[in-house]
Amino acid sequence: MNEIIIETNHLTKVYGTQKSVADLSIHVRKGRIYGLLGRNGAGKTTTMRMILNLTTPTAGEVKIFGEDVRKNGKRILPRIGSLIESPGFYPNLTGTENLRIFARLRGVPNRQAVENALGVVGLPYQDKKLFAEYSMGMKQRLAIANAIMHDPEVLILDEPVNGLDPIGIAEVRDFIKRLSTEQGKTVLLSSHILSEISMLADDIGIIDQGVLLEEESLAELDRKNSRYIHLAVSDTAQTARLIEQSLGTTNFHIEDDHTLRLYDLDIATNALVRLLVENGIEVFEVHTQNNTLEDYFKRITGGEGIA
Amino acid sequence: MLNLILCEFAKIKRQKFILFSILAACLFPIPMTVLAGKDRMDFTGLFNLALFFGDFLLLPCVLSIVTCILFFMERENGSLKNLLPIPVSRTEMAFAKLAVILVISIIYSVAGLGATMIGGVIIGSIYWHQIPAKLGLSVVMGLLAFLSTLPVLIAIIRLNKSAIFSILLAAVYTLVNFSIAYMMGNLPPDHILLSALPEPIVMRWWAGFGVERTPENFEMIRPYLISGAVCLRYFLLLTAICIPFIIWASRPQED
Repeated sequence: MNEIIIETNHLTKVYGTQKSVADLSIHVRKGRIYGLLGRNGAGKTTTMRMILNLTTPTAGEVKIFGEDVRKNGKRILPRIGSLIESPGFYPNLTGTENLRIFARLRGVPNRQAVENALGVVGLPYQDKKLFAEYSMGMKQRLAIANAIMHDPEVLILDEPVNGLDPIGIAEVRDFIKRLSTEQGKTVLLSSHILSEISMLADDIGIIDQGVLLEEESLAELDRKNSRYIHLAVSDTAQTARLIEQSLGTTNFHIEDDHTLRLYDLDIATNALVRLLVENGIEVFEVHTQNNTLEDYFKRITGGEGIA
Repeated sequence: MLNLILCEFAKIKRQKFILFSILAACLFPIPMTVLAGKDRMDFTGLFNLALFFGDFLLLPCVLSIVTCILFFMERENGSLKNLLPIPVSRTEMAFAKLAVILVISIIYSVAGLGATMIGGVIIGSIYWHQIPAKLGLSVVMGLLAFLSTLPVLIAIIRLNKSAIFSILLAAVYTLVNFSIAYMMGNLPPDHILLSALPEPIVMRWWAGFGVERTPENFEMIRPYLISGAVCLRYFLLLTAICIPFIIWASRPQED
């Protein structure tokens, strides 16, 4: 399951003198949900537009299914479903009429595809309501229906829960999760809402001011950011052996020769320090870290938090 | 391509401008019917007047509105980002939109014939046996009016301004064309404008068979007349020049 489906190599987009995306290299693995996390204006949408061949990169390349999307777009793009920015449809048509146009252009052979896609997002089939009369939530649902109608292998969803009510958000979240777990679809989604990303994504890319600051699996980020006792000692190898033998836990991680993270918070700090000192290990620093993913985001973006 | 054209028609469902185009086609036949009644003109004269003014003065303005609606709707409603990843090429889309404009142009021209026929019935002069030929001529004139409008469509699409600005642009272009076609007798037959602008070309071809004349005025207009083949070559060249520019104009100016 480590096959890379979407790969960007040093992707860069410059508007005038403004670098919107800089040297961005992301890797979306098959059957996984990749969350691109960043503040508004961080470069998420521009990145997705370049991936979908909607915007020409200033430099770098996008590979999907191992092929350059600029050269082989005609072959690659039909295998992708997308939702970029706000939902864009013909206001004088109903939801069904809108989807029928896109189904016809995509050459969707299944006559039930439009009805099925509308059913999945909870919109009525052959309703008389025009798109112009839709609420923001209905528009977003229609955009999701359009993205999934042709049963694509890959979904690229830019802020998919924007404008949805809390129930709608939960429904869409469950739906995206099911697409990945039950149907093995690969999903690249973006959000500025950290909780959304942390609830959905398997892998996370953190982007700020067009630069990819970190690309990790959620499990790894969780490991980095869960509560732990931070230890700065003279010898981590000996410390690890002592913790394992005397305190009976292996729930720790050696960072380097002098720092170690102990995730078992049941261990009393004073007993731990005493044990280390009695065994000739110098202890330079001991404290408990209470980092959340948001703290981590703040730290690595060097600024304010995210919703 | 047919799929794209059908989709372009599906996109304009409930848009009022088809009805507007047909109503606009009736605009000139009404006063022309009054004029024909007063001057005891026959059906052919009424048809020629209504066709001349309707197709070559008003139709380009109608087509400019249609162009604005068709070419700008994806940018306005943001659906381009759904179309391009299908993928649909901008070139194919521009061709499909031009096909819709052509069809509307022909519908307008045929609707003008319908209104003229009603006028003919009112003035008590209608030649039913001429209707098939006049229907054919209306279709051809609808096509030629569309092709005559292509140069100004390039500017309308590229400038991407409001509908009012586009109509004004089309009106200026049309007035220049129409005035020169209308007053071509005041210019020497080899004047560059009579060979360069599309409406004078149509006029020079049409005057050879479509306009009633006395032997004296035929002698007068004979140096201006051109054959159907020359007219066809001119419009093929015009189309070959304009279509690539329209495709270029329909591409986004900023990426």
